[in-house]
Amino acid sequence: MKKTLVLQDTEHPHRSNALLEVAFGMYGKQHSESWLLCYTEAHDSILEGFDHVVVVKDGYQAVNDVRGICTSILSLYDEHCFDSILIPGTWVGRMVAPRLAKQLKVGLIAEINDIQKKDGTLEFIRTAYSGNVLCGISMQSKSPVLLTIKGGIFSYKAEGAPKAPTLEYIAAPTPSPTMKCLKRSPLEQSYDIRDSEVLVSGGGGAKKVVLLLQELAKALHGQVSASRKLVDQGLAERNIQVGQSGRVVNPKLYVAVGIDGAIQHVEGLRDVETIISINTREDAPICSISDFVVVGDAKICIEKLLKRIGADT
Amino acid sequence: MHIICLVKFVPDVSAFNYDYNTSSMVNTHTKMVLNPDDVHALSFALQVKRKWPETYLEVVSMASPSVTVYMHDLLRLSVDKGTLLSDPLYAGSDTYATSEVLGTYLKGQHYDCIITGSRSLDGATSQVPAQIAQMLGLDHLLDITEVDMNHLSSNEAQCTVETDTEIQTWSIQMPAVLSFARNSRAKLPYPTFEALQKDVSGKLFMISNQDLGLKRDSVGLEGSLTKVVHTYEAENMSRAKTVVGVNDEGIDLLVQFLEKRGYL
Amino acid sequence: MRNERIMEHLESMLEPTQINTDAADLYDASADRYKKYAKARNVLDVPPPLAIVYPKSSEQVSDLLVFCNENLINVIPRAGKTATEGGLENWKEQTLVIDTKLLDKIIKIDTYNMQATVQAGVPLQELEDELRKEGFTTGHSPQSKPVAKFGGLVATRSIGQFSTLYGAIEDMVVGLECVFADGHICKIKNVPRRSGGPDIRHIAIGNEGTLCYITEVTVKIFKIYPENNTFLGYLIHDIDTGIKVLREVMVNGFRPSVARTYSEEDAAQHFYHFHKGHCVLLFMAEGPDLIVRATAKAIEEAVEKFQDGIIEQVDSKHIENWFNNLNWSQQDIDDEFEGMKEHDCHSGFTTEISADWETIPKIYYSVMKRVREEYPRAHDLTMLGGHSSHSYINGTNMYFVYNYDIRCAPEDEMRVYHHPLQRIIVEETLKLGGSMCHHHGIGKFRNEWTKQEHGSAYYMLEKLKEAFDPNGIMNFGTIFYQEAGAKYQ
Repeated sequence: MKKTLVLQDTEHPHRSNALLEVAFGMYGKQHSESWLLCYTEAHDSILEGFDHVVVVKDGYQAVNDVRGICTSILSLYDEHCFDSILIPGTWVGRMVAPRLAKQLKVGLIAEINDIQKKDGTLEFIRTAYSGNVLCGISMQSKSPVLLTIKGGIFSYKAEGAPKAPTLEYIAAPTPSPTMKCLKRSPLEQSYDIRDSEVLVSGGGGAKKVVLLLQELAKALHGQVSASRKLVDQGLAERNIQVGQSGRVVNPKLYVAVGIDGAIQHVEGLRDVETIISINTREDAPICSISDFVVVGDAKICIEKLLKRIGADT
Repeated sequence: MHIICLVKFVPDVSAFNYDYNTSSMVNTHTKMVLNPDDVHALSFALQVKRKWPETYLEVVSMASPSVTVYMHDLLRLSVDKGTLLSDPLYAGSDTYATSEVLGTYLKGQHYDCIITGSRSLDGATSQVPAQIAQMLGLDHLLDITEVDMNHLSSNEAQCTVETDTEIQTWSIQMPAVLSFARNSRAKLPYPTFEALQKDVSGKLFMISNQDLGLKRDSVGLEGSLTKVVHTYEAENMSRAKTVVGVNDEGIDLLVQFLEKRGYL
Repeated sequence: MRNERIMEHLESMLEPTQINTDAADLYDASADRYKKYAKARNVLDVPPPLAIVYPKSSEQVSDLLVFCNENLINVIPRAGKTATEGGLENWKEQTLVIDTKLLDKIIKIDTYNMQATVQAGVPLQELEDELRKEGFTTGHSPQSKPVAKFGGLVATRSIGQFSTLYGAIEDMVVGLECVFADGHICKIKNVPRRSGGPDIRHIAIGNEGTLCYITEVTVKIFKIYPENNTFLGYLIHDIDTGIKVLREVMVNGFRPSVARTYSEEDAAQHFYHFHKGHCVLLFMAEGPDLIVRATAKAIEEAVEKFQDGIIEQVDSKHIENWFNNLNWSQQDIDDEFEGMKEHDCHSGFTTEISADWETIPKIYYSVMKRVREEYPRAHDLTMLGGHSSHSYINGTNMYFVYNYDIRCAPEDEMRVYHHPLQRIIVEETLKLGGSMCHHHGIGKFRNEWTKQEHGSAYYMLEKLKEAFDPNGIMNFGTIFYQEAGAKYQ
């Protein structure tokens, strides 16, 4: 039996059991025994899939206490000797995992989005060079395997009747007085396209679908931007113009609708992970730097896409 | 206040060209840029120095001597000292080994505040600053978007961070490691024309492993606890593009693509 | 004369709508595209002119010039404002910009005698559009075509993208009218050729506003056959191969309308979607069907001859698409301007030169070497390359292009970046016997090398200036070096 400890994803609690997929990918479901270190919202749908749950009393206070979380994980490790410790790729997780690595003197592979088995060894896949390249990384250190997992990629598939996990309660370590959270508020949407992680961008070929761009942006939790051609035609404001002379943006996802891809426009895209083009011409220059190209009419494409996304949610 | 700012020079990814056969970047011109997060970090440090001119600002990087010309450019701004940790033994270091080197150097230094970026353009693992904090026994904040200049001293800093879902304001006691998020509006100031003509090489110090005394097996490839075994062209996630039409199958593939990459 | 008296005099000569003293327009008129970045950032180091005036006729131009000549007022003749070398920049406190805005009539289009006559303020695109309606073209297509006007196009000895077939402006001009500082209005008549003494058109063509003010131009027109346009493109190993193929085509007696070869980084700007990191060679052939076919065949044969240097052929569609999007529009210029206000960059600079076939690659490689080895800010360069775009039987041009991250104050940009690069290019070119200015003109910023450029023949240029502008009022600082202007350089 391979033992795995999962740190709860306190920013998206419903995603916590998605990390189990990683454990199953490493060891196979039959040979995995899992623990969840839980800080908030310990109800059934969150806990489903875990064999053991360790709940931190008054966990809400300790949710951002990085050193405290490390201490709790280390004491659990001392008790159970986990083969792997899985940390979600959240803000807290990204501060916890590296510190753990130093304390346990093991390597840390961060932001993995896939696992492959090659010639009997495990390879953990992550992107590099702003998503331009996928790397397979192997762990060279001893147990435990320490990973942070990129959010939103893996998902837990329930199989059969859920088994109730064992429950244990622990106290949170006293937080150090050296760090204090003074204020917390939900992240509001900025209207600056430079802050957006997702941009749906219209070019000269999108002049008939400007309203659809808004809908698609909303469905993808992003914002609308434009190339110069759309701005020149008065269909978009200059403050959402993407380009060397406009705004230089670095979203994770850039959907180029009816954009030809003049160099001045493309130079406004920096370190973009994924570029999708919707264009009537496959040989438009922007398609050569796109990861995914839909050749055809923008209106048909977006309408179908919205329908499909709507059907899923 | 004594500030040490850690920086990394990364290949200019916007001119990317990756050779899958040799698993390396093909640079049409070997141009490096200061990691965007580090631009924010350093511009903050320079702001502090403008406000409090008696601040001592040191910039530190672990890199090959090829970045000397870029370090000189930083020294032409009001940076007081540049330190380059460089040794052939350090080549091929992963984040664990890198933080060993940086942490060992920093252990021997005096500072009120260590300022860094949050992630690098090439690796983007966000590990080194936290590991340095651990090694030095310091607190650490990641993804800082702003520091309140009215609440900044050698005792305390008040910082705003952005997590995936929240904005939080923290008070953190100095010394500590402050890691800044990328901000496309952050810019380094211009060097003056006179500064451009100056020879600043006297302000740059090279530190090799002779000075740091690390064991061979704790640095470089030998000291790396993770290893890139190769670069992937997995069928559904390769940079080689997928082309579809606007039929149902095509849209299905697009939705799958978006889901697989975590956008839906 | 005091400024107030000058203004009074202008008001007595011209109507109020013909005089512009708006501060923003005067600031804009102090410099041209050479100092575009400093202008966008409001840190120009040159004085604004006193006024911009818009004469309605050659007689008014004559009156204005006489007035300026008598009162030692600097004159800047201006048309489309697309100058790139400082030709329109102002270096004097008392200057009048004389703008062709109201000299904007197309006077005659004669499709039997294949000539078109226009006033100096007619935009090239306007004449071109009119001609196209009837199946003709001027054959002149500089990248500034949508914005540039005839006065400037002739004054700078401009050249267009199709010059390899149609020639440059000097091949197209039939006759012209110009006005001199002493008020003389000279009309050179329209004849197909003559030998009536030296060709005096060349006093006006290329004078860059230093000798006279051009008011009217007659150009040849050509028949077009757009249905025959043929495009050919190739990826090649190096720029040498490109130049050899270009030479082969030219020397064998063929005239494609476009014949170009691009170095890797320059190619990346235009062809990032298909150049795969390589140099590019491209051609366009146009004209009557049989000629186009023969030209295309000759190109293919030349490519075949140097096939060791050829990597692969490119889909012609890409070349055609590229051509259709090549020219600047006013919107492009405005957009770049807005961008420069916010960002520390612009769309790059160029220095373009010419030489014979043998010398061009030598100049190219020695420039590249010197820049990479000597230039202290080489690590700020984001692009450094060149392309050959105008070929002759006996040589070609080389258009060096470069762009950089601007890591200095806007007012220092020129002396940190462009000037040292331009210096290297000019020095290497003059050293190897080429010309430092193929078609952009000397302007003000290569005037320190004018004597070297012309050698012993400089005497002829100098004497023309003495004869036609003894008081030195015509565009002070352009072409002829002036000590008093050094502070602006």
